[in-house]
Amino acid sequence: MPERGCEFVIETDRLSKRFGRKLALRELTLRVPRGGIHALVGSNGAGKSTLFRVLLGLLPADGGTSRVLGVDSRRLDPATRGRVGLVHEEHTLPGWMSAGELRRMQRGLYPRWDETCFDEVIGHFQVDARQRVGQLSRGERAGLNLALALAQSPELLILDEPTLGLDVVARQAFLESLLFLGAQEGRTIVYCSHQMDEVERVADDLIVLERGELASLTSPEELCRRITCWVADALPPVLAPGEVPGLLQSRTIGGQQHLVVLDSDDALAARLTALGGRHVERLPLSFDRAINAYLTRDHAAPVAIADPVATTPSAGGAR
Amino acid sequence: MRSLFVSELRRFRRGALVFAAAHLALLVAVSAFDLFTPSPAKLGLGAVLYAVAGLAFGLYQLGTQRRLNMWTFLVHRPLSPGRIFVALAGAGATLLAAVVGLPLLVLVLYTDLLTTAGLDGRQYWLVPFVLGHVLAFYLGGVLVALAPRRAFALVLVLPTLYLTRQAPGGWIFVPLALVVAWLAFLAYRAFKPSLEAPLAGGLTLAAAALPIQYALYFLLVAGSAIAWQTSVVVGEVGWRSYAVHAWNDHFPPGTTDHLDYLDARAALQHGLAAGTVPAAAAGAAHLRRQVELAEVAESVPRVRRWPRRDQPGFLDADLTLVDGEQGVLWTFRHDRMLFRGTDAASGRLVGWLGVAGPAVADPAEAAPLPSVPALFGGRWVVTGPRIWQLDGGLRRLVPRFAVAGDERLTTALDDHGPFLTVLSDRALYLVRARDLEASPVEVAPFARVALPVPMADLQRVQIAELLDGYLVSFVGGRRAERGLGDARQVVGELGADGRFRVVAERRLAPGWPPAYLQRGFILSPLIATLHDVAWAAIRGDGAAEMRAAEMRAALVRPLAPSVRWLALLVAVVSALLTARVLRRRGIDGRRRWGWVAMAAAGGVPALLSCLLLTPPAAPAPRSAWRVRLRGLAAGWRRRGSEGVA
Repeated sequence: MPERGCEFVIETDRLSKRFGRKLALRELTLRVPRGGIHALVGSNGAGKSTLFRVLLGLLPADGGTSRVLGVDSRRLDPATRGRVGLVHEEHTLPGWMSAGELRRMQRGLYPRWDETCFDEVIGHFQVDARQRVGQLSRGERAGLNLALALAQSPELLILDEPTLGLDVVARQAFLESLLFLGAQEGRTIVYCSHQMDEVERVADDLIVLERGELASLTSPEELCRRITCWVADALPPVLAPGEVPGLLQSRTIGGQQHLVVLDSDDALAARLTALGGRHVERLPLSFDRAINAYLTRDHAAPVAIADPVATTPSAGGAR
Repeated sequence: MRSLFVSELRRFRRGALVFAAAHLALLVAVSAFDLFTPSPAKLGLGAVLYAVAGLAFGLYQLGTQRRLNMWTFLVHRPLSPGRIFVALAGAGATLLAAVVGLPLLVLVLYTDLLTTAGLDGRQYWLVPFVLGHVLAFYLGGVLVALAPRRAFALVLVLPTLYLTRQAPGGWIFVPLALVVAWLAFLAYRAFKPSLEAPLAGGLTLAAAALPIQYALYFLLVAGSAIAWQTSVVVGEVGWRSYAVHAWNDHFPPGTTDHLDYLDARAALQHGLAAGTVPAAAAGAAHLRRQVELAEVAESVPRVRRWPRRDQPGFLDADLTLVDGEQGVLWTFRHDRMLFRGTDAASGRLVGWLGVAGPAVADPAEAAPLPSVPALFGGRWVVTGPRIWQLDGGLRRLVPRFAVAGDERLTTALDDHGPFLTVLSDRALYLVRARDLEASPVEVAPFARVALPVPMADLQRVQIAELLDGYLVSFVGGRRAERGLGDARQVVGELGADGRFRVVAERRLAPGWPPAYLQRGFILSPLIATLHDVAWAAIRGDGAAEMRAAEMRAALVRPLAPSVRWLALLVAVVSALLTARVLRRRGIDGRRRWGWVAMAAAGGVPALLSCLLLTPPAAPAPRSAWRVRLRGLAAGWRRRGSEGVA
């Protein structure tokens, strides 16, 4: 039975999904609270899209459980599906229908259809109702898709890289629609994107997935606060593992070592000096760079194929 | 749901229009020849074309929908998967009715109402049959597109239930409806949000497993036959000998297969030589010398299944007598039970031909035939107990031969020069050619020989004219390969007094060993039994008693002890292997024991279907092996370095 009053819109408990030898989701335990915009980020192959598919019952899990709006993902009933909107990256819609026909079809299906909302969102994209969906540009299709999803008045809206491949204008229109019309009282939006500027703009919470595991669940500001950049002269170009705790990234720029470090404090300045560094300085770091350093810390060197037994976190200090 | 249905119709509207127009054009072109009484080859070609069309449409419609993002848009909506399926499949079926059924119906109506040819009412059955056929393959395509495993393509074996056997009359629609319902149920169950997830429910699993096992059974039976025969060719016959003589020299005398490769004279000689009637032994040698010099004729039963009145037209053999001399085509019409004559050149109506008097213009004045006939040689018309001959010049049917009571003929008058023969289900009749020529009406036979082997087993009859009578050989054994019936050769002398005296008789055995002939039962006792029972029920051979006897025989089939033991061994091994496979795949409880029970009864096909239908165990992570190997290597290195130190 659908549970309207549940505290978490998404709950997973030790959720696993395997494709052949690859573990796409590795005993993922996650709880997304009701309300707000939650950004889901992670590098390619982190398991974001797989998570959505398992949540919506489109893929069977190999282990663990998952619930959406309090309902087991394997038993999502039509009423619960009507409360969950989805916009995915391809914006695949029936190309043989006109935008108007598609709107009429969806309007007949969703009991809480909001005609005004649809008109307002679609107004940003100048989509002709008589035009066939197959003839729309990618941006227009994205707008139509978002308008259809928002007009359903979903309690939970899942956006899986919705701005991928959109130009600046279309992306701007998309985000404005989302911010002004999507984030209504009580609605929860899970926003998955590789565009960190968008994430910084819209997200209340940041969920970081790494190789199918939850790496971090915090606010963007908090994560940004924990990641700092240290600049020093005369440091050895290659630091031994463990010499700088929480090291995410190390680069040599103009003869200076730029170190991006997680959870560092002033004691690190003394440590860098002890390692031979001079003119040690702490610099502010943009969200974009901070999250990129966080996500790419294990990608500096080739990594063995994931294995639940053999693989150990290479940046354990970052957790 | 309605909007989804309409959307799907809209999706294919252009393609449907083009297909319908092309279909109608093709039908019009074919109808100029023999659309309504096609030859078996053309019927088969038509069935294949419609099957491909239905299958391709099903695969395309759902194959394009199952692409991940499209599938998400389709199923993630406030509609149950069942209703979405009904909307999509309903639209597909509606489109098929429009592009396949409608043009066919238009043509049937046109031919019946607006042309001089006209049609029987039964020809209208063609429309629902073709529609059902194309719908079956459409649903098969939908199922294959949605199924979690490719093995589901094997369920396309189901249409053989109505395609390879011809159920009598309108009964053909029973297996057709069953197949459509079966495939619709499986496609409905396969339509679920998670396409990767296995089909749920014991009934669904059984409904999928049974046809898959059935298909595997056929593949195994055919494959084992090829393997066995190849091994015999390689080990015994030799390729060179096989290329020249095929199996001619392989089977030992005294077997049904040996007789199959002999001509009429040799078959008769072998029957005389191997006969076991002591009293006739001396005379047999004399008879063999006469056979060497005599003409030996042969007759085989031709009609084992009589057509039924008003059966669907596509089940008929061609019921047209072609009178080349007069240029008239006489086509039998079920509606009136008369032949309708048309001028071959102009198509003009010539008249209606019944069994009394010449052809007449008004069909109401003609005497209808008592039953649907079988036609032979362009002039013989055979109903159950009677043979008529077409007299083209007088445009009438002349009665030429008849048997009494409920006896049924199985041939027309087979011409062997000085005499003719007629076979019925009880006797062989001999008629002198001069009597037939002299008499304008029915002729009486000069000899009647009761069949020494039942008609159900009779394969061939050889007749040699001797100096003072005839020598007749009856070869039975038609069902011997299935271990049923009477496999014997009986040779007898028909004297001038009309008495038949047996001079040689021998039992015949199948040429292939029991394990080869019963390989189907060894591989799968359950499927072999179901197969034989189903076919005995579906096909319309003979009377109801014979059908019941065949069904009983299929249930309690005679088996050699070696076959029983082999079947038991295969069943036990299949069950044990199934249990082992399922344990490795982590399937326990009732589901596991259900599969094991199925393998114990269903043998090898059940084991294979279990492998194909149950999800494989998750593969072991490759890197775990690497880690273990690395650990071992590191251990050896450490021990090596410690040893050096």
